[in-house]
Amino acid sequence: MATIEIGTETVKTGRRTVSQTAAFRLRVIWSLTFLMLLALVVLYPLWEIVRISLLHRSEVILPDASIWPLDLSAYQRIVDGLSFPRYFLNSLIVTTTVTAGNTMTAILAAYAFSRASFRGRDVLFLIVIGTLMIPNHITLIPNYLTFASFDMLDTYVCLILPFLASGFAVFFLRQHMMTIPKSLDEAARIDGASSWKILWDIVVPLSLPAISVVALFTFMSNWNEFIWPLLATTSDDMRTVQIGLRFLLREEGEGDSPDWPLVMAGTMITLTPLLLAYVIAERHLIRGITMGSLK
Amino acid sequence: MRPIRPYLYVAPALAVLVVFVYWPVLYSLWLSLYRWDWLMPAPEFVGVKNYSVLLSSAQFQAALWRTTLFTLVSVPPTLAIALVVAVQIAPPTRTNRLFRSIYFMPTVMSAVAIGVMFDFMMSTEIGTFNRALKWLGLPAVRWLTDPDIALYSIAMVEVWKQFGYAVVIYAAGIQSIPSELYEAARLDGSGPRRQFFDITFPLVMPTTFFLLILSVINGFQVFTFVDVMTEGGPARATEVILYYLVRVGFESANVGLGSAVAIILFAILMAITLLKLSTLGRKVHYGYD
Repeated sequence: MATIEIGTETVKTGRRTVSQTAAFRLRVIWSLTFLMLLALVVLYPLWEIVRISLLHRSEVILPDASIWPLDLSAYQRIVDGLSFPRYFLNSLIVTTTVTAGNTMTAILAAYAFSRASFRGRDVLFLIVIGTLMIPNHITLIPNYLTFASFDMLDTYVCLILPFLASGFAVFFLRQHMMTIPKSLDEAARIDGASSWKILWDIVVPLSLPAISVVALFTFMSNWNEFIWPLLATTSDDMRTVQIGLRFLLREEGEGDSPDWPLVMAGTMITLTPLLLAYVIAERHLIRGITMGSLK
Repeated sequence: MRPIRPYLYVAPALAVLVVFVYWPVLYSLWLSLYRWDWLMPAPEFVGVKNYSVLLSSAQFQAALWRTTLFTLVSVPPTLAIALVVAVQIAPPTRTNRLFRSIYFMPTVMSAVAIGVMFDFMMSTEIGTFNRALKWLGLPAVRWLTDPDIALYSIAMVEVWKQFGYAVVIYAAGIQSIPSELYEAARLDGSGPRRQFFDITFPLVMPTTFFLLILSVINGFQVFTFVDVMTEGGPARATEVILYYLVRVGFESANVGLGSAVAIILFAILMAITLLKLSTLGRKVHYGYD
């Protein structure tokens, strides 16, 4: 009796293993199909940008327009036009300054918050990270009025200044700097190094991965900044690429329909620096994001 | 460090944050109690009138409701799709990493570029969407020009842009679940479905909650897609709260009323954030910490 039971049990287990393998294979196929379809949903729109940007204006309405032979006239028109290169230059100036400046203020503040003890430190730190709870929209009208009262709307200053510090950057760097042993500072201090020297010779080199994550985040979010430059710039000369692209969509073209190849060429140019940064630093970016959220 | 030094180190960051983040909050509060457009020489104190005007304004209520609706229809699909995907690509194999990079890409792209792209794809005459419908023998849809549909179309774009972020966060959450749990479940003969509902889903609850709050906060601040794709139209059908703020505060230059809108939105977001903070201590799952 007992042996029979054991026997059936074995057969059962065996059968289950077989069917599980088949089910497993089916599941893998389903899973891959699903993942690939979803990847297509993500990638196809990007292909549409490229495709339309390579068409001639008159071809956009044709469902089966071919991109061969390659027609780069839309890019030619974008580069030859006076506005878009200027927008690109504006974005470069603003974003590089903001990236350098924000990273710098964050390094300095994080250094003091992580390694010095001084009166009011915890309150000041709370003030810094408290900004994470204040949404951007509430600053729009007041900052507009502030810059207006100094007659500085529509300048690089107003596009740069509000972004020169961020609670997230300080918090993120501080978390990292706390993990660097303080014995290193003390050894250096005994050798007579100043706090400034300790920062640049010891703490910064050991924090480079975290610093590059902060710089990358700042670069990406500032390059994509939309609502503030939209409100704060009034002249065509001061627009960033994002704002330029928005107006390109609305103003170019005949009648109701935008000049799609031109708009898509502009979109490509707007996206390129970011996609480049993404391809180069994707791993750091994802690490930074998961670190930020799981804290 | 010498006593004065630390203050010098934190001063630049603090100065910027105080002037451009904290001061605006106070300034907005103050402005919201005044009637002021830029033609008037000086603001005129009106007390809470701006708030009572807003709360009884049909346009404001409609904008608030649209924003809520937008959030309600965009957040659940984002999280659901992301979780289903993350379960499949959580182990960091080479293929999975490739998928993850692809899905995450829209999150770093500029909202303007995405808006432009979908503005084309959703255009009635030549857009990709309607071409696909035609190919399937279905009638064309006015994705962005039909007042009953436009808000949902924008919500769809929001899902497209945001789900990759949730995938990455979910994948990290799933990776942190101890593998012994799955091994034990397998030994007990649980299939993948049981494992998902009995282990993965409850244990990623804190992640779900985090993503939920974050996405709701993002959803309430949607602006760029609306501005690029519909300009709040057709017939104000996509005028969300932030778009309303900009129209009132900047285009109509009604600074006081605009500031009151900003304060109300701030209060709503603050309530949601506090909900998040209040649950930070007690995690929303059981076991394993």
